[in-house]
Amino acid sequence: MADGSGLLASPQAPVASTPHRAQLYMLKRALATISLLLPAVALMLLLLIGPVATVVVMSLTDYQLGAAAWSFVGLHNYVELFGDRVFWQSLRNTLMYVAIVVPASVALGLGTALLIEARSSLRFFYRSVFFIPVMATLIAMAISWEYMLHPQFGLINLMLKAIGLPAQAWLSDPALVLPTLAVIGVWQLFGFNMVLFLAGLVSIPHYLYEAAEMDGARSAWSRFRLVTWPMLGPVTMFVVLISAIRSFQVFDTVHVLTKGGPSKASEVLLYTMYSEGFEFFRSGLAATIAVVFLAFVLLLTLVKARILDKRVHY
Amino acid sequence: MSSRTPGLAGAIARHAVLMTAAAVVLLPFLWMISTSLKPQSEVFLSEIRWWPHQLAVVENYTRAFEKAPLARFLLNGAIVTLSIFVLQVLVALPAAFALAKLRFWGRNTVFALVLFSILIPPQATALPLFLLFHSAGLLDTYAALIVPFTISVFGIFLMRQFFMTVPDDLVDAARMDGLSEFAIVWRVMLPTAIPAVTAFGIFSVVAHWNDYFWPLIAVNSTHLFTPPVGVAHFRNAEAGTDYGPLMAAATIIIAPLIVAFLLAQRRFIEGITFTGMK
Amino acid sequence: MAPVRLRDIRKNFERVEVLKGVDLDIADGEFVSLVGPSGCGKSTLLRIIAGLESQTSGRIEIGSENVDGMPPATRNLAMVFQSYALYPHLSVFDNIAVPLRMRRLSRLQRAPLLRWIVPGTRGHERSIKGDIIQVAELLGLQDLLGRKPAQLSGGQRQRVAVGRAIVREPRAFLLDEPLSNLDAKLRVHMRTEIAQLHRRLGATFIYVTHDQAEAMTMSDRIAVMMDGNIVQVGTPDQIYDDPQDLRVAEFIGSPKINVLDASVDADGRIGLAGVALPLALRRGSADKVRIGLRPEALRLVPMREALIDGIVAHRENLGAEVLLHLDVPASAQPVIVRLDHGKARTVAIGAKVGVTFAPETALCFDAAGRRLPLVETAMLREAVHG
Repeated sequence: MADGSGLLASPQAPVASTPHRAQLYMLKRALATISLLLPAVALMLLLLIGPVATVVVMSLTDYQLGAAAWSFVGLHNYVELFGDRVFWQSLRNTLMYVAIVVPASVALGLGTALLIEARSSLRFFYRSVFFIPVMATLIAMAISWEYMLHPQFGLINLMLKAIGLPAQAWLSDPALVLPTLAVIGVWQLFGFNMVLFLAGLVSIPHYLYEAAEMDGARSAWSRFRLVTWPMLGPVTMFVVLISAIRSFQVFDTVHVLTKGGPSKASEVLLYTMYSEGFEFFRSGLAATIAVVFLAFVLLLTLVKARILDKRVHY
Repeated sequence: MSSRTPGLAGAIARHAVLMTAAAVVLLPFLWMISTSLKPQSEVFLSEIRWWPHQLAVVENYTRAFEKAPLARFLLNGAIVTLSIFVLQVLVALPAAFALAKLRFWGRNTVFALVLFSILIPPQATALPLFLLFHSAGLLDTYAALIVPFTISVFGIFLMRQFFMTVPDDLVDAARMDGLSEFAIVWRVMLPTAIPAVTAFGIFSVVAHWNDYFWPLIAVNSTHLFTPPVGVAHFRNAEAGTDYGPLMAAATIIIAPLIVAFLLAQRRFIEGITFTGMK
Repeated sequence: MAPVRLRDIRKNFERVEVLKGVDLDIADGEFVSLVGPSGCGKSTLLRIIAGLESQTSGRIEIGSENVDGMPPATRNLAMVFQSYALYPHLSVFDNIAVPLRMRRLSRLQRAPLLRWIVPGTRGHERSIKGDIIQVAELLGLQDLLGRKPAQLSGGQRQRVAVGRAIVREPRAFLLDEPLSNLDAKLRVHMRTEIAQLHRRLGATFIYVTHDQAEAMTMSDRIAVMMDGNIVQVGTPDQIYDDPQDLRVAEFIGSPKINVLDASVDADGRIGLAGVALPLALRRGSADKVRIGLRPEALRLVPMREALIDGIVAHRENLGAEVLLHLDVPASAQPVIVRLDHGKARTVAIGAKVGVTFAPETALCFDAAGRRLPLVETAMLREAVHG
């Protein structure tokens, strides 16, 4: 039996060693904690927080990749940017895109979730089908969409012609290109929203519906208004904000399908940042756009965090 | 909401609407696959034809593989996403454990840093990261594709939430049994967190497999292209003529994730959305 | 096995002083309970002994070795947690094996998969298996070794936790409210099992609980803790019959002791609502006291012999005994009288009854709750010796 009771029983065991041993143990614990955290903290600073700070600083310089020297130019870049017609077009387009995608994908997500939950047949099938676009590589699907939207031979136009409607130049008509991209965006996003709504619907306790029934709410619409919609409040807020943040980050479809055209009709914020930063290598300007982009997304994310915190529930 | 509207009529209406929606949603997929089966002559038709009169499956798919190293792209996708995931776990789990179970000076500050970092959209940091990798001479390497994503603050947040539900007693018992803090993370916390780690893994793999923005910037050698960049490159090379092989290539690119999804649908949906509810 | 000595243990959390200078000596092989209400610091003290927390100041000796600053694993103690803390992903066998493997196998011999190639592993694993089977048989777990904790009942999980502790052959066993998560019947049964286990092993047990019945039935000695201090240490009988503090008297014993406010006249005689009691203090000790009377110390008597009278407000028939709740002028709380089965059949609710007690069963406390010794009075002598 290793009870160690004999080990330090000798009178020579110095009492003074005890505080040392306690301190040594504390030191070892501290080192262990540090080594658990060090990789994460170091990488956070190097790859996330550092770059964000750098981007802000860069936006105040005239740095160009490959240039020999650079200097601080204060808010010059911002002035230039806010005076640039293309920037405003880009921002406008992005906001319009968000304004179309968010309501549509939230409404579709909610609608399909409600329909799926209404009965129990084929729930699994529907849920999976609507979720597939979320998973499929957008670039690949964008290529399929491109072909589908072909002015002469695309499926969409062929179908329209079959029912007597005129064909459209979906991706080359300046008036149509942004809504078209928005449709693709909605197609890709609403399945995600649907699953979130499904989770929300499932968590509404049955007895609330029974209470509503007792209170005289007979029709599906009144039940929806009295119970479902209020209980889905937090989820809806969450979904709206997530959709907004995601649609703000639109880039893939623009880069592959339209390159911002025709005539900047589909130029979006991230695309502008990309072309300034990585095609023209005007890094200072690109950083400025990045800061604007960051500001919008941060605002949306902070609103989301606040709303989620504040929402008190039953 | 249970069956309230009159039985059969309601059920039929529901299916009618949902089926229509499903058909619309699946349209791009079905059309893509259908086109990948068509020979060149049947691609540009003035009528809608789903099933080709002449099957060109073999030709289209072999041409796809010839025109671009599709297999390579898929392999890159696998290498990059798996490496990212493994590294993310290696970095995030110990930090999550420390934040969840240990008391130390500065804990709130570190957690605040994590929360702040979650707010940062990935594209905002692209520019400085590009410059960083450029100056380190690491552009156009696997490192460029993998390293920026090794820190997943979202993963740290998620795992911390999960670890907080593990009873403190378990950690204490492990300490009394003599396990070191690291051993506790990998031998005690990880096994109990397998579902959460799996969900996170699915989220991470899907997100990085489908990522286009960063790989577009970080690499320009064909042999390093990840699936999205690869298929975009394929399209640019094809420029609107050979749709058959192009659709075949697109089908091949999305196939792995779709197949995996169909095999484990519940897991995928849970993974992507449960973690999506930050 | 080893004696445990605590000297002036203090613990601060942030700015709150949780332990305010605790001294305790636990003899080798003794079963000592730390008992007290939630928040009194008993669990903190146990964790400090275990090494899971470190004290702000003070010494701990196990055996005659000072263990301050030693990590928990090296103190050679075993702990049974309230939630059992079994590794959920490991079988019962592997759960019990963890401490043995940590101790007997080197890093390499523990590495997954690799370990079987490393020399010496098999030999150790064999001896480990032998030890585990021995303990499993002691606790009746032989058939459960392959199961995971999720497949076990509460009582079984508890035994596995105990098994994991026993197998380490520790210098002392620390038990942190191990029965709290069990249902009432199982708890009573496990009390006996734990007491028997203690006798079997002859080991030092330090047992933390908020349940005074557990402490009373299992311990050699009880240490009652309140607000970060040990208020009294003694055998169950000492604690029960001779509490040194009102809080101890109120905490130990069920139903709770009756406490009545009494006055003391200039000569030290004690009176209750105008009635003189056969009790007295030394002159000048105090002028306001509180008298503690256990429910079983009171008996019903005709009104003229009664020291206290009251009206029956409620009756609890527990079968083997009856508890009468009396509304009494001297107390805001009802006085509870414990009577044997059948004794109170004729007493109706609302009836006026008289109650008396033997003077030596009364406990006297000053206004601050400290126990005051009672002295004999002529009345007392008369009452006792006739």
